[in-house]
Amino acid sequence: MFILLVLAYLLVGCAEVFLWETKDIRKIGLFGTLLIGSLILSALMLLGVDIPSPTGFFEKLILSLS
Amino acid sequence: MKAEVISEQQGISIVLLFILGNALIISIGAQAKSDIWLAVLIAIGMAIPVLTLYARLHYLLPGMDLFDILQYGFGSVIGRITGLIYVWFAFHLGSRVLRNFGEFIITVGLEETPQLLPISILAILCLWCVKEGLEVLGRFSNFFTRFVVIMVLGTSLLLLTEVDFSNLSPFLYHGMAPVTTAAFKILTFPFTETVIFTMVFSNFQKKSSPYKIYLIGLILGGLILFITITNEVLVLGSELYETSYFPGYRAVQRINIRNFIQRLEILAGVTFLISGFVQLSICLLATCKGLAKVLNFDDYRFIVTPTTFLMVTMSILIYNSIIEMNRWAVEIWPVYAAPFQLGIPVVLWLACELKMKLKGEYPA
Amino acid sequence: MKRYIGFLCLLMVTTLGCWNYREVEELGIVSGVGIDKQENTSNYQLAIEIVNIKGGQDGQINHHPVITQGQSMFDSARNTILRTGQRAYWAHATAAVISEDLARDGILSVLDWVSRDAEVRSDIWLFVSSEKDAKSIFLTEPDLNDLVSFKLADMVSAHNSVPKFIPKELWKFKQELSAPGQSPTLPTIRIVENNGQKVPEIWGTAVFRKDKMVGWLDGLESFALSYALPKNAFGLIILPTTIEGKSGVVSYEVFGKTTMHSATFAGNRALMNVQVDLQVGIADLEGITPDYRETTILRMLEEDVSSFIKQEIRQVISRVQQEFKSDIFGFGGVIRQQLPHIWKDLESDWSEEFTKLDVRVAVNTTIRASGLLTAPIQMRD
Repeated sequence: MFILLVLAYLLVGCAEVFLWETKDIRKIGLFGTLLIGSLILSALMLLGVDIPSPTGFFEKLILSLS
Repeated sequence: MKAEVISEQQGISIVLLFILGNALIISIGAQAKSDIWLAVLIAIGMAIPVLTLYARLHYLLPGMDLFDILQYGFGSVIGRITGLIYVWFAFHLGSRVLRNFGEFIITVGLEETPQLLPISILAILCLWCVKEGLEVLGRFSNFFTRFVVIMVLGTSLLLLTEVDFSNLSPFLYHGMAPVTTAAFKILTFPFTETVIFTMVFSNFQKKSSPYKIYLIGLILGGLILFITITNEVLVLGSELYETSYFPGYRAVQRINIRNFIQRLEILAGVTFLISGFVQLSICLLATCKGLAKVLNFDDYRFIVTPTTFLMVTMSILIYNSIIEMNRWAVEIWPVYAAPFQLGIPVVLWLACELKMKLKGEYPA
Repeated sequence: MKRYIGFLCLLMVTTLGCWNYREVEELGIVSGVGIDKQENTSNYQLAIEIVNIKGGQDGQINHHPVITQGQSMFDSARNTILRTGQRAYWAHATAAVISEDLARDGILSVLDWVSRDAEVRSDIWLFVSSEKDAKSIFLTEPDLNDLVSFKLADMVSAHNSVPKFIPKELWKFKQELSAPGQSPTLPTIRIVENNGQKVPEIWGTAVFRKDKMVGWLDGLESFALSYALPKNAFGLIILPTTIEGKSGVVSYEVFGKTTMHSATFAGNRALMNVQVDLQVGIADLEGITPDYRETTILRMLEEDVSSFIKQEIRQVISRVQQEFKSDIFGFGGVIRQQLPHIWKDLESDWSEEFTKLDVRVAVNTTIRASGLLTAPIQMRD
C-alpha cells in the first residue's frame, strides 16, 4: 500500500514536470518540496499515526486568549 | 505573470457563488433562534463597509493583488510574512470547504464510501480549473450562476406550502445580544471570507469595477442567503435548524406536492456542489498565487498539483469528526478569521492611504 | 492528452456513486414497521413489513412482516439480514407503529435512530398501537391494499373527512416535542372485526407529556380536539335536535373550519381565546322536518351546532388539563408568541400553570348549504 502511494506520487510528479515548457530548477525544487510534504502527510495518515490536528491547536490558542 | 482580466458580470457571479458556497448547506447563526433573518440582514449591513474597503484597495493600487499590496504597504519583509500567513488562511479555508463537502456527501448519501474519494475527485476537478486560470472560472461561474439561483429560489418557492410563520415569532424574545453575536458570525462566515478575492483579482476592465463586483455580488448573494435561511427556519423551526448539520438539505426533503413533486434533495446537493466547486477553486487559486508571489516566481500554475494534494490530505487531517467540524465552523472560526478578514485589511488600508498621500501618488 | 484526462475525470465523477451501489434485489424495501419491547428483556422487537417485488405480471406481494430482535433500534433493523438475507432499505417507509408500553416508557429512545439515520425520511407517519403490541397491527388483513402500511397511509391521506384522529409525521412530532409550550400527540390504532377479518382502525389520540405517553383520548374526543386545534378538519357533526316539540337527529357536514388561538391579558393572568368559525351544510334530517327556510329556525340550528361544539371542546380541554396536565393544544406557544413577558414567568412551571389556565371558547356557525333540497321532503296524505 505504502509503495503504491509512493509510486502514484512519483508518477504524477514526473508526468507533471515532463509536461512543463520551462524546467527551472527553483520551480522543480518548490514543486518537489510540496509534493514530498503531501506524500509524508498522506503516508502518516495511511499508517494511522495520530497527527494532532491544527484545528485543536488553534482552538486551544483561541480559548486561552479569550 | 500573464494578466488575467475578468468582466464585471463574471466577477459578480464568482463572488455570489463563493458567498453561497458552504453557507447554503451548513447551519449558520443558529443562536439567533427565530430572529435569524434579522441577523443575516445586519450581517449584510456590516459587510458592506468591509467589502468597500477591499474594493478600495484594488482601486488604489490597480493591477496588484493582496500580496503585492501587502509588500507595498508594509515593506518587503513584513509584507512577505503577512503574505505567507494569508497563504495559510486561504489554504486552511480551502481544506475546510473540501471537508464540509466530503462530510455532506458521506452523511446524506454515500455512507459506505470512504470520504477521501468524493474529496479527491472534487479536488482534481478544481486542479484542472485552476490550471486553466481565473478567466475560465469566471466563465464557468457566469454560466452556472443562473442554475444555482433558479434552483435555490425554485426550491424556496416549492417549500412555501410547508412554511409556518409562527416559527419566526416572538420577535427578539431573547433580546438583541444573541442576534448581534449571530450577525458577527455570519459576517465572518461567509460574507467577509471574500477577502480571498483580494488575493485572486488584480486586473479589472474598468477602474470602478471592484466596487461593483464586491458590492453587487455581496448584495445578491446576501439576499439569496437571506431567502434560503429564512425559508429554512420557517419550514424547520429554529430548534430543528439548530440541531441539523445540513438544514438546507433537511428543508428540501420536506418538499412534497401532492406526492408528485417530491424527493428533490438532489437539487440541494447539486447547488452545493457547484458553489462549493467555485469556492474551492478560488481558495486553491489564492493559495498557489500567494505562494508563488511570496517566493518570487512569475507563474503559479506549476505548484497547483502538489498544493491540491496537500489540501486533500489537510482536509482529512483537519478535523477528527463532523462534530468537531461543526464546532469549529460555529464557535472558533469567527474569532480565528476576524484578524484576516477585518484586522489586517484595515491596517493595510490605512498604511496604503498614508503612503500614497506622502508620495503624492493618489490616482486621479 | 487533455481530452483523455477530461474523459477520465468525467468517468470518475459519474461512477463515484457506484461505490455505494446496491442492487434492487439485495434490498428489502421497508414499507412499515411495528416497534415493540421484547417481553422480559430490554431488547427491541421489530415487525418489519417488506415489499417483496416478485417478477411476473401481477406479482403477489407477501404482506407477512419479518420479526427481528436486537439490543437497540438500529441493531434490530440491521438484524433483518439474519432473517431474510436482505438489507432493509428505509427510504420508502411510510408508517411506524409504536407499542403502548414503549410509548409510556418514553418514545425518544425509539425516535433517536429514526431521525438520526439518513435513510429514514422524516415524513414517515407515526402511530401508537392501542392493542397489546405493535406487531399484531401488521398481522391484520390489508384486503384492498397490498400492505398494511399502505392502508394506513391511505387512511391518513383521507383523514380530513373523518377527523377522529390527528395524523402526525415524524418531523411534526419532533417539532412539537422540542417546541416550548407544546406537547405532542400521536394517533392510535386498534384492531376491529370486519366480515370476520381482523382489520386495523385508526381511532383516538395518545397524549404525551414530554416524550412519555400519559393518556388516551377516544375518537370522539379526538374529533373535538381537531376542532380545537388550528388545522384543517371537516367531517360530520351529528346532533340530536328538538324543534317544535318533535325530536330527531340532524347531521351537518362541515365545509370549512378555522380555529384561531389568541392570548390576552386579563387581570394578572393570561387568558386563552379559542375562536372557531364553522361553515356547515345540512346533510341529513332524520325524524324531524324543520323548515330551515325560516330565518329563526336556521339561527336556532346554527346556535345548536355552536353550543354543541363549544361544549365538546371545553370538555376535552378540561379533561386534558385535569387528567393529563399536558399542553397538547400548544397554548403555551401562543402565549410565548403573543405575550412573551408573561411567558418568562410561566415557562419554568408550565405543566402546572397549564392546568390553571383560563380558556375561553367561542364558536360561530354559519349554515351555508342544504344539499340538493331547498326544503325538507314534504309528506302529504
